[in-house]
Amino acid sequence: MSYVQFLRLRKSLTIYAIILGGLFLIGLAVGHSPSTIFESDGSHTKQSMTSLPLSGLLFFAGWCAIIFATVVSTSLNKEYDGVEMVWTKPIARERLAASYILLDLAAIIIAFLFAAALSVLEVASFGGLKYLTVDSRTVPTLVIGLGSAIMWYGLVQGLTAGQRGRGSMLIGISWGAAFCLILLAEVTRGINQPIHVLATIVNVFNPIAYFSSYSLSNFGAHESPVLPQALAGTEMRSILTWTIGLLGCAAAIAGWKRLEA
Amino acid sequence: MIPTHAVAIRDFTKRYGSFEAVSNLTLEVEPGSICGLLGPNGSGKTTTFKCLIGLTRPTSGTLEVEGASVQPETFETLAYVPERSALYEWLTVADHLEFNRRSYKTYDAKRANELVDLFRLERKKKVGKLSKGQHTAVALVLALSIRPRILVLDEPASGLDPVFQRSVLDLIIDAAAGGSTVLFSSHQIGQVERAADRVAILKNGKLIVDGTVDSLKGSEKVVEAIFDQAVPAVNGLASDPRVRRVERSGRILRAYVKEDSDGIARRLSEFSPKNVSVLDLNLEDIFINAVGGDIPMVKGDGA
Repeated sequence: MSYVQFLRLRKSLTIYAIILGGLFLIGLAVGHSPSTIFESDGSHTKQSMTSLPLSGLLFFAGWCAIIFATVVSTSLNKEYDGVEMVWTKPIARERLAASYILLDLAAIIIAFLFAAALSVLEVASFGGLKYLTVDSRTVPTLVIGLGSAIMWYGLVQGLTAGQRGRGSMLIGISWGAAFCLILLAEVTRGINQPIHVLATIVNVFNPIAYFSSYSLSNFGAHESPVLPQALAGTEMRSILTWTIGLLGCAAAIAGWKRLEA
Repeated sequence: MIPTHAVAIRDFTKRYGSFEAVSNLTLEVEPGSICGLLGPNGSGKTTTFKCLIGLTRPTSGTLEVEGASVQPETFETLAYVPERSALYEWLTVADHLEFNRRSYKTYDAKRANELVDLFRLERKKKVGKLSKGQHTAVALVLALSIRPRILVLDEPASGLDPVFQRSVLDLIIDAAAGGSTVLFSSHQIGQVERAADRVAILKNGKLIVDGTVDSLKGSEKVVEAIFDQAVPAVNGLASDPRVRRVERSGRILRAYVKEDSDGIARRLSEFSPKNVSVLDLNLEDIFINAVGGDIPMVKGDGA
């Protein structure tokens, strides 16, 4: 019954794979240039390297999954144009919406795993596999990275499923708002506390705020500097990203059921 | 228990804010019959269809298909062709057929292929590259390929050329002959007249005509008098209780007569016309009479 969404995701994943494949090839070309090549025994690399944390590769995969998640996050909203087609099939609307969401979530996980696998392959092609280490940040990066992608997906899906059109516009706005809020929370830290606190509270609904402690200001920190302190820890962030994402999906199903043609 | 009516709409009202799109509509369609829903643009036909199949909710009233409100499983036996294309532009005709195959237990691949050939559709062509008429044809193929018991068609011949319009009409009549119930709307009054057993005319969301085609056509006669010169003054004709309306156009006088058409013809003969004839109403006359002014509801036999 969700055959059309299956075809849509297959198309999206193909484009995604082509783009990442292109980046992979560029990486190979650049990586194997004389200035950056790894020697096969690892002892004479022009770039000195003692270890390569797997969390770094998963961090890249997390961002790829986030981008992919936002692209597919308006699947129910997109159906509004052909709603006479899908709502006249012998399946309950909520079941249909749930099957769309499950397919989307599966595709997001595939997008994450594909990017991670391609990263590992890239490293292997340089002969750097022996430096790859499973560090303490590996599991949190995996859980929060994927969680942030699902959170973003759930929020956009929840906000757009009950709307007629304007899904793409909301995706664009969400990216702009996410970065602006991170920036606001970062620049006001220690300078303008009330605005910083306000920004951190709003950031509870900002997926990047959960993932950014591994990147923007303090890579690898246990606590996110752009979230309220009570929610900033790794465990809390892991729980919140997934919970908010799944609640967004539930809201999307409810909104889809209420929508009228 | 077998329901008496394939489609039963009772006291149905739909409001959008303060605008009443459909007002207190009651319409029943018997199993195996073809009911044509006519009305000017904005008269509430599409709203009625959308509420009937559950795409939108009624403000009040009940809309039932085979004795129950529409449930997901109803669509195993109910097919709907919307007025505007709801097909996926990026999918091919074959993809749409596959979507149908996966969606319905009742999907008949042989029938689908026959219909694809009938409408000369290219299976591998993307729907976005098809003409408006071909969009309609694909939608019809999808609807008819599940061999539905109930067919709801909103402007089913829209955009099709006259040859394919005829094919659509034949398909509708075939479907009813095979036991399906058809409820369809059209602006092509000739099509409705040819196919429908029963006609309902909506105006401003209100049902103003409802009856079998034969009873409606037999409910009035047209007495037409053609004169050599301008139409003379026929005093008292318009106020004659047997006459509902009088039309004058050049040298032609037409009187729409409720009863005793021969008597009216004799009266007009006294004015020495070139020719006087008593004609049956056609559906176009009924439609124009109904929507052309504030005319009270005409109830035909069997309504």
